[in-house]
Amino acid sequence: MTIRPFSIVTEIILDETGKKAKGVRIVDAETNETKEYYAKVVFLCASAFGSAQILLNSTSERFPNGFGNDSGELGHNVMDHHFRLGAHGKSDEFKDKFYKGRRPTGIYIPRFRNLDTKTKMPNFIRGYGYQGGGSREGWGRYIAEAEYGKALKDSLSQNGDWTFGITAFGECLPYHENKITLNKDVKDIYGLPTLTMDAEWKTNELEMRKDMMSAAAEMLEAADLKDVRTFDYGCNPGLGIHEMGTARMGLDPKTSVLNRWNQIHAVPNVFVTDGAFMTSAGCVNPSLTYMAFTARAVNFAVEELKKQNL
Amino acid sequence: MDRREALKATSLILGYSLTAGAASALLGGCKAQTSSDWQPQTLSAQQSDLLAEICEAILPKTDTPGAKDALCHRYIDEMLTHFYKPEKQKYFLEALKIFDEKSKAKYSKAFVALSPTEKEEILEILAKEAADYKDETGEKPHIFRAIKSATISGYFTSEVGAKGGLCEFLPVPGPYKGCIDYSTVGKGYVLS
Repeated sequence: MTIRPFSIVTEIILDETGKKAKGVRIVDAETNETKEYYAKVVFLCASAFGSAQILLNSTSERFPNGFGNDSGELGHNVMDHHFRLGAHGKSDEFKDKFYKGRRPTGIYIPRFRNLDTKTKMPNFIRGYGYQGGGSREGWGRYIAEAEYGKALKDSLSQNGDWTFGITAFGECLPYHENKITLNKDVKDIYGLPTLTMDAEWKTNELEMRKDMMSAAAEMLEAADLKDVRTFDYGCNPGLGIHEMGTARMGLDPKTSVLNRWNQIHAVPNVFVTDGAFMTSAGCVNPSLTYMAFTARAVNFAVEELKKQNL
Repeated sequence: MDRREALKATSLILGYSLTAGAASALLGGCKAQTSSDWQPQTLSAQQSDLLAEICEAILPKTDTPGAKDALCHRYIDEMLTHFYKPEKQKYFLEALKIFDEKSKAKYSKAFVALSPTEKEEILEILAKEAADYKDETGEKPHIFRAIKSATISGYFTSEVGAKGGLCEFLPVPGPYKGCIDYSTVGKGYVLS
């Protein structure tokens, strides 16, 4: 295998039939030289926005609005997770207990909203999970202003109360109008159009956030923590760095870009195997899902190549 | 990501009560320079000497190192230079004058010239002021609190302070024990 670093893929090249990709065109980041590479199969895995950007930039007579973009969904349905809110509290107990070192893991509370009729929420669909952990307050904790000098050193030498906090990660629904588009007026140093991102949370996410915060406090109080406080630092799409959905999968080529095997509907020898293929965001970290789908798509591609279908 | 927001969030989640400036310096990897020909960059020589005395009064040398040993005043100069915007620098330097003002009013001497007990008297006055002070925006903390926050974080993020024995220093990488008796350690940790 040859890895070719410093290569910026500018577009995917469609062959004369209009039904297959011939390969990719790149610009060498060091020499600015343009080169083409040819292959039977192309796997696009440039990250959700990167892959969509390449596809949007690969125009032809067959695909004037972007490679494989018969549906008009390419670059749309941008999703991310919304988070940065939850609750934390303190405990008066276990003062004689401690730990040593850094805990390598945290706790996880899986989704418990909208699983069945009993857990159905009136104001939003889908749901969220919590990540969290506990520790004892260290030298950075609040120490009364009155303390300085030797008394302050004595306080600092000891650990404080146990604290426990959970922070929520919520699902974002796919909205056609949450999108990325090419900006041909602003180009990057390689002369490629930059991306314009336009996405917002809507009522479902905002309603969900209210519950994400208040349910966190409810649980911590039920767990007998004291001085429970909620927090919401606000969140915009993009902060979750779990962007996805820009070339979504689907059974119907009229409403999706990729088929069930991550192939572009109209150009089956191009596979897109990063977050772009996602149809819904769920509320868990998505990387393992991307990896599993990539492995599955690669396996499928190998089998198809053996059968000479690709 | 709005770094400022993120830092505020992080400092609260971690249970830190540092001022915004001290928290951004801490998480931004602020470090005092140890060279022998060090010169302050934002502070004047006189302000630097004053800060060194204030920091030492806040964290004096005992059987463990003090703020001077840990070069906390240099840490603060570094913080002011690289983590404070000009208007916040100005606020800090202006507010710093209060130490000499109080000292002169009470003892007719500059703060640096006071005896340890007299310095404590001045700190006592300012600590009380700081306790009653309301910083609505989080942008203009009381100068005593701003210096105390930065002194503590400068101390524990310095090698001298971290390894000086006030708390137990736990380097990375290291083992993890999930549940032990507090008495077997008997003090807090320095994890950062």
